[in-house]
Amino acid sequence: MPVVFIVLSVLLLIYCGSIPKDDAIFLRLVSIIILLSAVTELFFTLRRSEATVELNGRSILKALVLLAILTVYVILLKIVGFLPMTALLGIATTRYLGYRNWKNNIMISVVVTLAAYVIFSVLLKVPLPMGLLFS
Amino acid sequence: MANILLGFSQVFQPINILVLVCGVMIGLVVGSLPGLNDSITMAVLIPVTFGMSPQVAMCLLIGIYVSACSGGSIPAILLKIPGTASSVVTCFDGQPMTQNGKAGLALSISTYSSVFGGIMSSLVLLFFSPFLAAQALKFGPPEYFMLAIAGMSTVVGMAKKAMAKNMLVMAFGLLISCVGMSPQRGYPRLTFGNAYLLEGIPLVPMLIGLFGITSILELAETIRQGESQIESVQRVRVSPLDKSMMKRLLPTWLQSGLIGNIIGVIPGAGMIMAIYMAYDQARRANPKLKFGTGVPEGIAAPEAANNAVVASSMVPLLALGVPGNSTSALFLGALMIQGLRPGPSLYSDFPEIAYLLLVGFLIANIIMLPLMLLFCNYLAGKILLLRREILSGVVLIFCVTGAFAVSNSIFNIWIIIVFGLIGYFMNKFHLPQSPLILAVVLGSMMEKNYLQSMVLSQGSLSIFVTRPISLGLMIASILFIAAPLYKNYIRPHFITKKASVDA
Repeated sequence: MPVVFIVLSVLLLIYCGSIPKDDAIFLRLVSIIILLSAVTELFFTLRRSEATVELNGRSILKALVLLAILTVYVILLKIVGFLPMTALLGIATTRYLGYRNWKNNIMISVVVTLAAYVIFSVLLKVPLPMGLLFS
Repeated sequence: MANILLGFSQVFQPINILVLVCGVMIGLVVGSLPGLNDSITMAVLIPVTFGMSPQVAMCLLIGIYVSACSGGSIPAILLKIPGTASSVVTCFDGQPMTQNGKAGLALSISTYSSVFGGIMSSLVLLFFSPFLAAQALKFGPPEYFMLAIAGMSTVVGMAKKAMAKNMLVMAFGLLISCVGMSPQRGYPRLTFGNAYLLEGIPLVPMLIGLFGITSILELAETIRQGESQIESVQRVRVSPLDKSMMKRLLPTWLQSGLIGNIIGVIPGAGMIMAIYMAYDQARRANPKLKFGTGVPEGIAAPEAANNAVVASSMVPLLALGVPGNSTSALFLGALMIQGLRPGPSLYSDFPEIAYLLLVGFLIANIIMLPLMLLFCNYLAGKILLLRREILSGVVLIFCVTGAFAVSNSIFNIWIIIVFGLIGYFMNKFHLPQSPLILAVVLGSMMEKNYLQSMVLSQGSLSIFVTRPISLGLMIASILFIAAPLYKNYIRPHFITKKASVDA
């Protein structure tokens, strides 16, 4: 983890060189703090010489699948529209988290999506993307 | 005084008091549900408050913030599952009391302790915050710059053994605050040609991501398929506390309330620290009692302490514009959506909102007493049976809709996804989130005030030491960092060296 931040700070310092000097003062300072604290953290992690973090591949995969579901949602949102996509998102997530009762799942997701639609689109007048079909 | 009366008249507007009651109820519900807490709920609801008047919006958030950590004690006592992180300690003595058949008494103690701690804290907010704000009116850019530094120093200093980690997260937060047009000449920094990022990373979607999405991602990996869920919750009768018990708990309440208040006012310390300290102190003050076997003091101490953190954590935000913890940063986000800027000028420019906030915390705590007793008696049993998977689906739907609604932009949904991922990995690596949020909020304030100071002093750094308040804040910042550094790293080092020499 500290290594990621060290790389980040070095990239930032290079970036600082490419923008006007005045605008970069603060950014440069921040990069140096990141670099210093990441090096310190690396030093302590190495000295403790024990893995303090267990990164379990399978559990991370579960989180990443959820993120993938969300990404697909955002991409399709404009095309398919808020109502069907959001209800689907609710159903997919609830099912993926391990809830097996399809009837309840679909009912709750649809009702909550409609509630969100009424609150934001009807009451707060937010122009939710309606998709190609409904617009 | 007239202003405090104005605050009361604002809170007692029918719509405001109604919303405050709703807020307290929502807070109790989400607090008692493991997996949901006040920050997640507030982050999800802030976009909804956009359509309300500022007063109504604040009443809703105050109600949730005040009651969520009390709600967390209900499953901690009944099921040994803390509903929020702030009720972890309540399990120690709460669960044994339930096993001894005293669940009703335990819940009643928890209710009264929460209300007592909360009221103490509201009074601190009500009287201390305007006083501090009046002092802060004398602040100029150098003082604000130093104040931001001091706020961040306390957060780093409070971390004890994890100072490097906190510093790292803090700097990362400052980095996030740099994204967007630079305050000097509007040069786009770190925007990578993306027009949405010119204004910087929006605060509310970021918070929705860090709280809401992160919690769902974590649930995804903890829940196992077909895991047995809570089947039933015992029915309890909770009655008001009798006088002798109140008399017995009063010293614990006062002591824990005091601890909670002090910790609440300091930026970055937080509830977790308060509950452990209060429990520890209560144990020291009552050496004859066997803590951990179901002692009333063991519930009273953490519950009074966590509620005492609530209102007092708003002191730095309302007086100085510096959020004391991540939940008060949500208030900052909600106020900014309404076009208001918290800080000393809020008292003079919008007294109706500033004093509504102060009085609102007091009233919310008072109405929590009957509401929480009713809640424990009638609703809690049913609510605890709700499935977490369904709740996550509901939270997710509101997260994406709310994030979009903040500025009618799909780009905000990308923001919540990215910050959900960041929050998830931060938790994996045990990196604390509150320094990140604090630094994002303080970053732009710091840079702007630094530049203004430089204009005032014609480019000389001496301006920070020649002005007394600025110098004082600077010395305080150095002490905040140096004292724990000495205690945790340098002194133990010397002691081990000395020991090896002696041997």
